[in-house]
Amino acid sequence: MKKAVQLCAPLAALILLAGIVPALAAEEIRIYTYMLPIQEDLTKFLTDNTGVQVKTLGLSGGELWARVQAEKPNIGADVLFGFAPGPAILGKREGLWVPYPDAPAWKDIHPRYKDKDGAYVDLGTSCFVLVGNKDLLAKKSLKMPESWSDLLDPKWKGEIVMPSPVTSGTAFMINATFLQLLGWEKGWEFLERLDKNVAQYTRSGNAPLEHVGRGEYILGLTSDEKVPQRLQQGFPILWAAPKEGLGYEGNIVAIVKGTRQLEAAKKIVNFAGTDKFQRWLAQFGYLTARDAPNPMYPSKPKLVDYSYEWAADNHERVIDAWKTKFLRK
Amino acid sequence: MATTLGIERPAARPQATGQAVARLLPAALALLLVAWLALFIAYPALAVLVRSVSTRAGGFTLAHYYAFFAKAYFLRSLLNTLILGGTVTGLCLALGFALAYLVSRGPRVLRLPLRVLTLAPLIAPPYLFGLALIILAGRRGVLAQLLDVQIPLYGWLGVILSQVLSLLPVAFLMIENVLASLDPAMEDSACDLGADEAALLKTIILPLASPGLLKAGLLTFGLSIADFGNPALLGGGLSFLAPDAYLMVTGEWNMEMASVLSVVLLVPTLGIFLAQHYWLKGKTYTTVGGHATATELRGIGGGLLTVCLAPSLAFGVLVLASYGVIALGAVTKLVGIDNTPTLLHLASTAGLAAIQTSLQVSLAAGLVAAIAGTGLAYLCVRTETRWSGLLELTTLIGFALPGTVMGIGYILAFNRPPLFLTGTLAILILNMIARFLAVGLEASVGKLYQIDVSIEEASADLGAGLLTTFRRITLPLMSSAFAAGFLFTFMQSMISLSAAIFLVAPGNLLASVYIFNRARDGDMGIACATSCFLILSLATCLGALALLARRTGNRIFAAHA
Amino acid sequence: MAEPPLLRLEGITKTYGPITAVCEVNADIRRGELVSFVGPSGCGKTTLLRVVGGFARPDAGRVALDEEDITSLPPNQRATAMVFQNYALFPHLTVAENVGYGLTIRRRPAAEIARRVEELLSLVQLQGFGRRRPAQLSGGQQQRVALARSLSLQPKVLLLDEPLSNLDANLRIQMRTEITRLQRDLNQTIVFVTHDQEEAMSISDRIMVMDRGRILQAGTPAEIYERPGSRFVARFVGAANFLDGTLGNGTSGRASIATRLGTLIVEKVANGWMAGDRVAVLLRPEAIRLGPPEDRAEPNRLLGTITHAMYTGAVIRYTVQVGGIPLTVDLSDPRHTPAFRRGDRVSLQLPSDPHLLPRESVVDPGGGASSP
Repeated sequence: MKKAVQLCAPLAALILLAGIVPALAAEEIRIYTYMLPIQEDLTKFLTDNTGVQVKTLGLSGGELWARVQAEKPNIGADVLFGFAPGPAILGKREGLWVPYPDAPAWKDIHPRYKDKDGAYVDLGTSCFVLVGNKDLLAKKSLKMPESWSDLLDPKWKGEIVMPSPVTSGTAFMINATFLQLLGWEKGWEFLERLDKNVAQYTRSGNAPLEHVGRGEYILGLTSDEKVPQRLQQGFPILWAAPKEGLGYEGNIVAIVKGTRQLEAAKKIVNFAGTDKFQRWLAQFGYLTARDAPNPMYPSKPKLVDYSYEWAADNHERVIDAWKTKFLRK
Repeated sequence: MATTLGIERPAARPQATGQAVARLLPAALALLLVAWLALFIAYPALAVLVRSVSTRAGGFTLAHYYAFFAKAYFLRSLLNTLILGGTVTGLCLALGFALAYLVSRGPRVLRLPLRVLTLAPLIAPPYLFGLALIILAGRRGVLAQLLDVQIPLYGWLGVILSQVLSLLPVAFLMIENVLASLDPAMEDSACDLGADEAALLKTIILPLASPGLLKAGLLTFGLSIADFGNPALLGGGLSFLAPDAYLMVTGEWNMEMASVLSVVLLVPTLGIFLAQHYWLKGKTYTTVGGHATATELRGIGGGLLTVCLAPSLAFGVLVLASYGVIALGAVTKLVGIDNTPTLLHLASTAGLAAIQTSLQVSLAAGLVAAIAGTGLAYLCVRTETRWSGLLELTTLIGFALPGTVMGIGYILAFNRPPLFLTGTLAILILNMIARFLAVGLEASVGKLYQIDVSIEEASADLGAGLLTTFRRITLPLMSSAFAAGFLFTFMQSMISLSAAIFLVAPGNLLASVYIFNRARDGDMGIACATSCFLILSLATCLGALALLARRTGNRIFAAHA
Repeated sequence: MAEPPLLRLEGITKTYGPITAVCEVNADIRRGELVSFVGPSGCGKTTLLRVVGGFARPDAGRVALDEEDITSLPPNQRATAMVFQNYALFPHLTVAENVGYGLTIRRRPAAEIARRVEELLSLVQLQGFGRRRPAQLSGGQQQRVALARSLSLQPKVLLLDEPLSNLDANLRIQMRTEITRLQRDLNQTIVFVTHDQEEAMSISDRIMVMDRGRILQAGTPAEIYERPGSRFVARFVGAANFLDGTLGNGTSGRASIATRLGTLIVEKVANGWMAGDRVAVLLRPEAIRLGPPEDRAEPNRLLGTITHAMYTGAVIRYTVQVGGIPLTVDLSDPRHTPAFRRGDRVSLQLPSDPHLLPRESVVDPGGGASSP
């Protein structure tokens, strides 16, 4: 028994210490982000370029905001890097952010990407698009729909997958887009008819892309964030921007009130506005604040008229209504 | 110290301080342990309870409960959960019995392989089979492609199957234990009186094993309804309480409803658990009078053998297929669709970082839980504290509470000063200890009852103080229970998901959460690769421990004697 | 008129790995007999019983019941019934259900079962206990239920595996009477296994003494006790003193034996002994008479000193040093016979017709005269 303890103890101590030591070292920043597809790359890119040790936790839209609400006023992150505009507005109203209006790198960026009081900044927009599985479409001799209303056709029954707004910010964006496009009543009508063709509501905004890419379903409404990557990797997918237009949302960055790493946080926010970062971000398909070569959208796609304020004000109402209508048995 | 009677006695202790310490020590320890249990088990549980009846403003209300029972959606969720529990329990009991019967009486050549296969799921996260089933039987799974058949995996089939695969080992272990403790003379006697195999099973074995079977069934039911990972992955459109509670928190920041759901989940789980622990304690039909003589095992007849063997083999095949598919998924680009081999998934560093965190947390939790469990057991059994019953009960509650409840409770309890622990590694470790302490405790208690008190009295008689006796006599004798507590806590901490998913923070990601998130986002390759690393590291640690045990002559893995 | 034996064991051998539990055992058991297999722990008697019952398959040999080879029949197809050492009563069934189990399995009509159970319970004097559960019964009662249960199928041979070893002394004696009564009333053939020789002697028609897997001697209790074939058997069934000597000449069954303690004259020497044979004289403690020391020298009379006296109620057991050899001597009815004390000098009158054993029989670790 003694021997066992003697042998075990140093081993255990080693493993335990291995975690603590680096933690005590560099400057550390905790980040919540909903940019899940690029989370690991983002962490590395930020760390390498700012010298700050960045630790991120990826949460999808709904989860992120829920966590902030549950944790306030002692939020477990220093910076929220990549989250939805609706919550950003709500958060500003609650006084959760530390304004940083004179970040040098953001000075020459168009005002619509910045909050007028400097409470937060917008990295760029991501849209949601329609994706389809090339092989399955070919097998069934079908073509990609050209309009959103084509999706209501019964031939797609059980073959559409889209995210759930309860957890996914993208999904919220999707629903809010249709509601703003068609108005509250007609918007829900559309969504209810669409629901008949939907096979599954996924947790995150990119999961439909995976499902469609694997051929589990033919069509998906998904965030565009991972599409270029997957195309490059050889996923058999096609994507389209139906003629009514795409909905979009900004990816907001804000410094959390109560952070003890204010200097480091500011560094991060500032870096986010630099040309270097924006170019890096654009390669994933984001329509960045600074113009940058974008592999997915050679030119700006048609966007739907979308109001962040409306989204913020109606967030809870939309989700409640959605749950009542669509959360199945 | 030399103990030849009368020759060498240790110098007499200075009376005052030595004795005072010796008298106060148990009380001080008891107080410490009580405080710990109260703070880290009772307080979070109460926080959940309180939150479920609070308004946002802080008043008392039952409105949330009304809302729960009024909404068809929630009632449906409850019903689904109970149905799931019942179905999975029935299947696990039947299959577990068939397997245990086979292993204990079947052809020798089958014993080891069946045991290995049946216990294999223990070293994997419980939702691993959910993952594997998706790859195997999903809409574009391996089976769908090979046989061109669509298996309705998402929904009842998937959830039930994945739960049976992951919960069977527990049921099997308990049933095997029961069967092994049946007096063989009883079966010989029935045989002697003319019973053939079927009659033997029906009139003797099953009735005698029934309290044990009931116990196993209750435990399985409790584990099933508290399971988060499998229903979350494979539920499809169906709703179950644990994932719903999670959604309440993460999707809607509705802590009140989440607490209500937790309470609703908690009541049957707790009730069942306490019932099977206290009520069935000692109600077993083991040997009545005398000692058993060595017997030759009789073997199983042909018909019964087939009945037991068929589902057992099917189970074994599924387990193998699951592990195989996970391994495949780790090294192919898109398992099932694009099968080109790749090492990309295995090279992902985030997964490895998560595993390292898991190892740290699990080792720390395991050590502390083992020590605390042993100490607590000693307190409960040997010293005459009135608190023993309460201590044991509290520890058991920590174990019985669904992980989801403990996770939510910890957020509610420790998110503000003075105990602001959310986001730290400490909260993860504390949570794991609180949840799994009970096993070490129960094992130690059981072992202590076997160690006759006179052994310790003899040690005292020869001059050893309380601590010395504990250190030199009791602890070594209890080493197998200590090891059991450590191992269980370690293993469970490595793979447990339902509480951890609430408590992870930037930089403190646990492997189980990481894998789960990846799976849910459709990144099967990385999920599989990290799973492989997780299983490997778990198996390695266990192997190292076993080796260590054998070297030090410690029969750590001996069955609970 | 020899009726063929009911149960015949031929050449039974059973090994467990490197251990030979039973080796080449032959035995015949007649209908209505109560035969005991006795021996120390590990002698193979229980294994042998289990072979008869069908719970162990012999590696070699044959078991025949009523001239029918049953060696490979499973227990539920043999006409034997076993009472296990720990009774093995089914704890989840009542006494009545236990006793009726065998009949229930055979699907006898309920009325018949009820009637038989009543009969059997009366037989073992447990009327009215039908509704109770085994856990509520005392050891003796449990044992009787086990008996009744085994008798329910009217087995040809009843096998009892140390059935009395878990009972206290008085109960044991009581149960012995019960068993003999049952044997007589039902003319039941019984094979009884025990390590208690007194028990075996008191109830058996014949005893088979076993050691290390073999039968050393078979015979009636009297034969075994009075004419054991080896020191082992002699000691096993009772206290014994051995006096080593050499047989001298003699006629018509009378001979002299030269021993360390002097020359003994013995009568009724069995045939087969020859002058010059080295013998051990068996002297049972009760056969030696103690008396006051007298000068009159008589044949087979020795002088000794008492070194130890143990009062056991029925007898006083003395250890008497005779010429350096300690002899055990019992004095019965101490109330009415003059008793001796430690240190007294006494005369010992040896019997005139003691049983003789070959001296080099079974290696005797004790050496010389001693009591078990």
